[in-house]
Amino acid sequence: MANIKIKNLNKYYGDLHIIKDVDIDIEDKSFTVLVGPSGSGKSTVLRMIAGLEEINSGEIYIDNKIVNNLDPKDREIAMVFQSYALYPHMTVFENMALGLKLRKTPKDQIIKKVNEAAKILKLEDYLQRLPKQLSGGQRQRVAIGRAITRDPKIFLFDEPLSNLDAKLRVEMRRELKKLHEDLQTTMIYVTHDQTEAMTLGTKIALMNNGKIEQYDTPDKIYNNPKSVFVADFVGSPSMNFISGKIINNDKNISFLPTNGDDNSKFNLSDDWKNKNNIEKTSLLGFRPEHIFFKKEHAINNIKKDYFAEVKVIPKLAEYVGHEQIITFNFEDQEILGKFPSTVNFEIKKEITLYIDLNKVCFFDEGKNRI
Amino acid sequence: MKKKIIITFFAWLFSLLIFFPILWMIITSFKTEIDAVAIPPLFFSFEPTLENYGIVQERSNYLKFAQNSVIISFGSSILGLVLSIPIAWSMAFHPTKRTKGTLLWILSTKMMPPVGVLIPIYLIFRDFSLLDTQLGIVIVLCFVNLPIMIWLLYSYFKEIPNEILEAVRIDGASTLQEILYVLVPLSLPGIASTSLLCIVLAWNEAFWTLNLTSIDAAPLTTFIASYSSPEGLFYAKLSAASTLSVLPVLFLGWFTQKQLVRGLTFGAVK
Repeated sequence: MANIKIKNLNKYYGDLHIIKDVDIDIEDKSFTVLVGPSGSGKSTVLRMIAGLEEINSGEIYIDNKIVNNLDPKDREIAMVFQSYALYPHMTVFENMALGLKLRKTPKDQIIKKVNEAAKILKLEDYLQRLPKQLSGGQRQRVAIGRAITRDPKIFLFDEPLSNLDAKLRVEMRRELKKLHEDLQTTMIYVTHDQTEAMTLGTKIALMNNGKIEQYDTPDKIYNNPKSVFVADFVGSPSMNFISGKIINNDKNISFLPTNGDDNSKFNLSDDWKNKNNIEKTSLLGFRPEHIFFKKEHAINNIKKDYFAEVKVIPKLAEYVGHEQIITFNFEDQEILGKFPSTVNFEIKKEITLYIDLNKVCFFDEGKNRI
Repeated sequence: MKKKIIITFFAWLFSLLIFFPILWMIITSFKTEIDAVAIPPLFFSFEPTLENYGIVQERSNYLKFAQNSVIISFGSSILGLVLSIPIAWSMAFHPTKRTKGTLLWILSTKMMPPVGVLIPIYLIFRDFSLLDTQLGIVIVLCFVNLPIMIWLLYSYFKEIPNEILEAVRIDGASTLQEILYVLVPLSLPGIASTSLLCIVLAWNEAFWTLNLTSIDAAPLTTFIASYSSPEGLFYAKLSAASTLSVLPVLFLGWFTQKQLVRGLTFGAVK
């Protein structure tokens, strides 16, 4: 159990600035997910916490103790790798016991702890097997077991589920969440999968280009994105963005899409009128589930009944089972909407949609939230 | 089918061609000195005799030389492993921008003719009283083979995923434990074939052993050389001595050929 403080962390590979002034406060017992596209530096940050990667500048504190120059073995951490990194020449038991053996734990203790971990992970029947005799999911469990037996202060996960097939991944995801609840240990988890991040994390740090874009709870990341990047990264399908500008006159405030005319202009709530910098808006964002095809649905769902009426042409329907994702054309821009699959849309026939204006986000030209 | 026959034919042809000198040596060792130099050469139409082996054993103590050969070849290989495993480990898993250059530089020492450093090494050995000692020849053969050992082990270690070593480091291993618990067991086939190759190379090494040993530390190469005399007939005795020297390493090679082939072709096919 430990809290971690990361201050002004920087990392260079030659001239390349890989990690740029990263600051994160990770609370005790939290499940923090570092998420971002590949090359965003999330794994590097994790490896720096583990002590596998050198720190060029900045500090990492574990339990308020600076660990910059500590070897990985002295940091009381455990790590689960993407490739599992099991010791191929050792049995499952030996794999899980090695960490304890290296720490000179008495033999009966080792047996007890390994058996405990095996029980939690349902590996009791496989203790004498070699890793190559196990399935992917079982190997993953061994890797987790190897981490559990040592009672580390912190668990680090480096994309542990990405080598598993889709179904198993969802299963293991749930097991990891349960594990966190049972163990009540600080966990840091790296993934590029936003669904994993949203479902597992108590806090999410969204990374882009070596920087933290937003560090928040999943709820705030989803509903209160600080930038276009964050809004675009989470949610499936991701947020719709319409480029255009705000027209704010004495009477009312409205949004005029690029290439649009008076017909496609729609009014916004007067609440927005006095918002700072609202005129700088160049992108309007809203999520696919906040679009409705009937006025009544919109009104039912919306607290104050304001919504934008837009005329769109359905272009493409994707059937997902319980729902469908429709692509619309709106003034030469694309809008995606999520609807129950019972609704029928006629392709290429203009219809009116209702956008929930309680949930729209405004972004400026620098792609930051206004 | 026809292609296969042709390939088989040539394979046998070249194998026999390569093996012929050794076969001739073994045959000659069973001839009398007169038969050995007979023209036209006698293949099987001679009276086989063990006389040469008797003379050889009488004139010099074969076992003494053989013992030295074993100590020198195994000793230099073990010393080489102790040095080259950590060297190859650091190059494979903690490379810097100079690692590639260093590797080439290490290999370049093999391109130098050994005779170029004979005088300095001889003088160093004289001053440290290492001339004609097993320790001295173990050290020099270890350094002769070290570049090959480092290169072979480096390419073996490169095949081991770094993450496994990182995992054991996080599990609490020191550098030595990391090497002993994970690296060595995982690369055991590679380490085995590297040491076999070096044992064979050290066993057959003649330049340094001939120049730096005389009696006490002399291995079988010196034993053979002592039979090439400037006058008189010596072919049969020389062949007998050579056969005796080649046999142990031939058996070693025979029993470990799978390892050797794997070691030598490593990295060529993935």
